[in-house]
Amino acid sequence: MGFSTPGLLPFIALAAIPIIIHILSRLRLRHAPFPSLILLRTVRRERFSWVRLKEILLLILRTLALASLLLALARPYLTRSIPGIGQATDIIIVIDDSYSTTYADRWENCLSAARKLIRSIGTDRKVILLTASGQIQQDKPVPRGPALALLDSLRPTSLAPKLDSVLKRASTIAESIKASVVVITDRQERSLSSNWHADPGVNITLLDIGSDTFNNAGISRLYPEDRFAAAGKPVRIKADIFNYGSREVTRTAALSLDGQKEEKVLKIPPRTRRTIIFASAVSKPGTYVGQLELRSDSLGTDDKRYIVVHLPEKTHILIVESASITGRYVSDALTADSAARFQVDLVKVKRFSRCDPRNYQVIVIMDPASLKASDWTRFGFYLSSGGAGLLMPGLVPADTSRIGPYIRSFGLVRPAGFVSTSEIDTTHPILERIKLTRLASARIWQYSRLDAKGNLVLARLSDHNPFILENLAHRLIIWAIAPTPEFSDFIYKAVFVPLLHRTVSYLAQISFRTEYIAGDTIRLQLDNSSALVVNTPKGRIRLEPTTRRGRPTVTLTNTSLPGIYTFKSETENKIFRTVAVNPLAEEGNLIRFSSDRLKSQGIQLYSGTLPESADFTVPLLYLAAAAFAAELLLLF
Amino acid sequence: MYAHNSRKATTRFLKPEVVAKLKSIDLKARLVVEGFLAGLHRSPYKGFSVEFAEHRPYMPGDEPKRIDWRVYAKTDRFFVREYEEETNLRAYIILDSSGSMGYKTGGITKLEYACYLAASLAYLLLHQKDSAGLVVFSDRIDTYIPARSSPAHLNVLLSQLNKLRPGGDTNLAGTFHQLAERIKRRGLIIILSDLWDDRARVLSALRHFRHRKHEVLVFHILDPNEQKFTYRSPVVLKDMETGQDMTIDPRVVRTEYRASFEAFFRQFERGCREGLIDYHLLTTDTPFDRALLSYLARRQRLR
Repeated sequence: MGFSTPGLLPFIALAAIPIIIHILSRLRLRHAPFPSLILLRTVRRERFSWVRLKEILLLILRTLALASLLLALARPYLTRSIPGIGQATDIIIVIDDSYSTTYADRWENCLSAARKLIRSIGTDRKVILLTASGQIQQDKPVPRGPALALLDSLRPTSLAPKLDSVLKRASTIAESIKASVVVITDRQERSLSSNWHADPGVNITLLDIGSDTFNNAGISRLYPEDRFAAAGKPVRIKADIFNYGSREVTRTAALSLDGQKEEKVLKIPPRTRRTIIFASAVSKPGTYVGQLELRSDSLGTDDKRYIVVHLPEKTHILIVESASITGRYVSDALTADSAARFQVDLVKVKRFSRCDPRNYQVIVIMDPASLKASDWTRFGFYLSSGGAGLLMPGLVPADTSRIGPYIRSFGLVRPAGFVSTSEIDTTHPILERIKLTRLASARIWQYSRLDAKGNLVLARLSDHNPFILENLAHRLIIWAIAPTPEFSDFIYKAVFVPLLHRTVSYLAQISFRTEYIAGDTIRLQLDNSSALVVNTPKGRIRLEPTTRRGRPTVTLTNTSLPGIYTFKSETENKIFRTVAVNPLAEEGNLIRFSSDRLKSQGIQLYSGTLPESADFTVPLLYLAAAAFAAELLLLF
Repeated sequence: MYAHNSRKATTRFLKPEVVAKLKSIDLKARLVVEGFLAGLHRSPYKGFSVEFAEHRPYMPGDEPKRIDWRVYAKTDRFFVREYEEETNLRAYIILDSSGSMGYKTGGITKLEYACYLAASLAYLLLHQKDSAGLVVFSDRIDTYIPARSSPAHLNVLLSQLNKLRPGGDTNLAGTFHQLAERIKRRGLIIILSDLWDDRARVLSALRHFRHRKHEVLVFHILDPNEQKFTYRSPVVLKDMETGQDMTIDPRVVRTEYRASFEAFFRQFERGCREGLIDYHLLTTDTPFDRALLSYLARRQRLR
């Protein structure tokens, strides 16, 4: 016999309250004169025996109700040992509290299994509880009672942590205190890396609370239809819905965006992704918050996803041209858009020093070789403070060192005939909608042979030399040609304008993230040192900035709940940033790893059924309720 | 409207709690009776107490207001009008002063209420030139004042009422039988008691009065709590006469007590009605006019 919350046992003494009250009321009975007891004698003769009996019955029932209730709070149970799970040692219980365990009744099964395990051990043995998310991280073993109490406070998270690190930690503790490890999980495929292996000498047993059959669909992605959304053009929302289960499902997806609500019903075949586009759209400049909800599904966490759409005002671009390389073609291409998303200023290189770079989101330098050292210094400050640049090397001089700190060129190449684009990275946002055939139609008869070291190659020419590079250290894109007729006929091709637009939009818009995954750390650089207040789904948090890389920075680590997080300036009450925190979509995939894999990883799968522990809490509560009901019946 | 307001103003002084505030029992009786009669809108001495008899020559010492000026106008001599008493009703006020009459939960005890009522009745009787007597008893007759009609007799009765204190056991039936034998001349017997005794025996004794050709008027005086039994928590009740204790839970016995009381009251009422005895249940918060009206109604029937 044990108690889950033995700390409440002394309160059972409170059951004596009715008896004490009864005795006190007897002792302090009021005496009063009465003219004649003639009538009362006749009444009392009839009532006396029943009244006395009723009084005693009431006293017994009250005491019983109170004692049962108080005993139930201590949660008594009968101890039953579980064969095969380290009976002689202390036990480390690792609980998988990722959101996949909230599917159907898995979480209840998880807690129930943990309780049975704790109750199965002898009174002389202790328990350490660990969770994958880290919400419980015990270092020292505790007796059964506190462990059970701790278990009651445990809630499933919206996170998707893997078991690798917590199992490593459990193994380390197990080795030091000679304990056995039991991990309770739904055995989801992604929960344990396939290359993870148990330390020899550590006994790890897995209690499986999952099942091979499941029926779950979830939102795997929610994003604007156009990656480079801008004001003036309606931006619609797309969503990817994945049916992870083995049967076709019908779900209703409901989007709410900027006060608009829209629902779509969709049928999704098993193990298939469906993409839907909503007609709801936003077009005015501003920041919009949206939420998509998938109805009638069993796993709730991946059925809700948030989105923040930021539509900027016009993008200000500075084009720096030299005497030999004109910026007219680039300027014309950028302003050709009827929506006029870009505001372009074209200046000669000698006037670059008079421009304030802070006024521009992107600076396009047509002929980097023409920049003076002081111009490069200013440009460097601009980049390191968050600015973006597009470099288009023109006529590269013989002394390549003068080309600037961000480009290494091996000189100008004039191939026999021409080259064209032969290879592009279609996964990159700039090129994801650009067709290689259209890009390859442009003929290039002169280009700079760029050094790809330290850069990401987005496109290559037919002679394998880089055509478009992305600098990984800065927000910087480098083309191998200047868009002038001296280099190619690229400017006359239809693909030139969209490629230039996407490049500039990409550089202008990746300035901040608007989506994070639950559990991520959100780190924002600020313009000043005033504190921020964050509205989170859990409530308001005040963040004091710290200096990081020379700039005031706020860091938010508590992002365990999905939702919209709004960062406001404490002094100006102005929204600084709005971001969406979403659950990791992959956690919704409940496919499990095989028991063979478990064996190979050195984990033993518990095959028996855990004995039902005799928990007296509920019967005692029923007893208390029955006693209370009987008391009421007697009273009325 | 004026009449209504006047009635309201006068009956205000008939409430027991108002009367109790006066010090002298004489004042109390006068206040009750005058207030009651004023409320009736009738002259207190008109019609039923005195009747014209004859004229006689004016003698020194006669009150000038009694001179009949019409006769003087005709004969030029002074004559005064002689009246004679219409009846010679003998009324006995029989008042229970046993221990139980000392009970009170509100303003006044049952005995105080009974005394004020007795004083008022005596005042009224003597001002109507009837003769009034007083018997005070507990388990035996404590005081017996024979009926007389002289105005000075009122002081005797009032002083006796003024010094009454509750005490002793009750022996209603025995006392009533004794009195029925003792009071020879037929008259009006007014009983003021809480009647806490064996019902059958008390009723039998009351019929004894009737058997002796007396008119009987019973005022059953109780405290409101005896009727309603308003105790809330368990209590030890002590009999005010026998001293016996009884622990009771009012929530358990209240309903049956009230039923039992109702039966007790009904039995008295029915028994009295069958014996042609006027029976009135009064609680100590009942205004005195109700009792006085009952008396007057009975008095009218006796004329």
